[in-house]
Amino acid sequence: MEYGKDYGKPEMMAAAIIREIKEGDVVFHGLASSTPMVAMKAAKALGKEYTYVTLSDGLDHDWINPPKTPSTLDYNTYGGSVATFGLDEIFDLFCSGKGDIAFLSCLAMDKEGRIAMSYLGGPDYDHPKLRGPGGAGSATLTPVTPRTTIWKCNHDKRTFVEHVDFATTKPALDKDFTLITPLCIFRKPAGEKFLKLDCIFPYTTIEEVKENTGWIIDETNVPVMEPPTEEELAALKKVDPNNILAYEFK
Amino acid sequence: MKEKLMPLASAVKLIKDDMLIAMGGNGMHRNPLMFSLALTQQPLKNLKICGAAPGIAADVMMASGQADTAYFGFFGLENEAGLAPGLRQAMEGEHPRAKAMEGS
Amino acid sequence: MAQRPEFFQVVKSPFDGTEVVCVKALVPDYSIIHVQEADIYGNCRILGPNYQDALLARAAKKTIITTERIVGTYRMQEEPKLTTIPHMLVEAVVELPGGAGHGICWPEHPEVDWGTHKQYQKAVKANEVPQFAAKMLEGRL
Repeated sequence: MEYGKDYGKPEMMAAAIIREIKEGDVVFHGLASSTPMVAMKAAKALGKEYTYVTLSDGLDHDWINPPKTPSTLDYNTYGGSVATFGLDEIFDLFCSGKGDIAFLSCLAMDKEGRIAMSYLGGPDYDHPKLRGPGGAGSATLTPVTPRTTIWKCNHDKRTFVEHVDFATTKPALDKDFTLITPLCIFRKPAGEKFLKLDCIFPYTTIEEVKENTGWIIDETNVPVMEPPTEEELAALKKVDPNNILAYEFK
Repeated sequence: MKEKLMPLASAVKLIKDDMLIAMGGNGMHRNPLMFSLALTQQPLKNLKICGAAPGIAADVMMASGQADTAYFGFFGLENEAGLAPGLRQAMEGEHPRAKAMEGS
Repeated sequence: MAQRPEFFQVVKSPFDGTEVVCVKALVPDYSIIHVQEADIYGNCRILGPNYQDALLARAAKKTIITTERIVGTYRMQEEPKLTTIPHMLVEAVVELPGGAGHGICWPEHPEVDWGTHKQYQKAVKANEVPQFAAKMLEGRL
């Protein structure tokens, strides 16, 4: 598998997301989530046994219909579902402990995993420089989800900062928390406070990760994750012929 | 059951200053956008907007200056449409004309 | 909670003393919802995702409905489960095909009209949204 020839950063991130899903999991993604949407569809195409819920009300929609837009609210994630299960039901399910993974994103994050979704810059909450869209369900889901997983399609010092001023949400101390970027995976295991570099992707180095991260990374030697397999790449192409996966990487 | 049909021009008159209104739909999907555009033609002020994920219809109220507060979990237009322009215009900078109330 | 204490407070659970965050309920004066099918009494069917609309209709004091088309009540009676909003929550029903404007309303309008959306974005920047609205509403009011 050659980076640049057989696969790029989008495919690597999608493979990393696919590999997070374990058999029997109940997995959620929200709106504006085209990267996990494609990865989760591919996981289904690979035959992974898990439940796909999202806020289009669709539960285990028919992944054979290719998405035509990056909007994850679209009929595409509803059509062919075996049941409807709306956001109210999803929140209720996760709060009662029956959810496993929630894929969420952020505008910025710090080493504690504190997430900025409300605003960036400016003197205070009521006078922001950039008004963000808000945390969506993340503040409800992060405390109750066993494996909250953040994906972010940029890895730079503006995104991964030393300290987030106003945290829209933050990881639960007693739960696993994971961050997947185009370069690497960070993990905060249950019981710990800070994100640790868990592995890097084949086309980068620890130095490149450190150069692009605004917090201090103590780890010096981490494993390299395997590149996407032929099966994973074939599944991604099968569920996503319109290459919606590339959208967030523009 | 009571009959409730009425033209758009009559329905918009039900909305008065200071009311809290919830807009349906999500992002760019199935929003009551025409109703919201019709509200901009009325001399309304100090409206409060809410929804779980207010979208384009609510954004119009922020952009028109008729809403001074938005309650939301997520207020954006998703992907291609991006961040909500009306929301940003109303809340950014030195003298924001609207304030945010974020729920989860 | 620091920013908006009038809506968020921490209390101790009366059952076991754990701290929980309480959120004050919002009661909208009106919810405004665009549906694909409604009868003249306000019973509504939504095709495709409901999102939170059933909840909004129950939370608000009253609901205003705009609908792509008016249908006979027999449609609701065929399978009552598919009626998202029951009539007693609704104060007004406006027959308004294309009520979602340049946004998506599945299945008749499956895509955003990006040309119109660009005009909207320009209008926001120029503070001319009412003028943009007047153009879109021509003949519909």
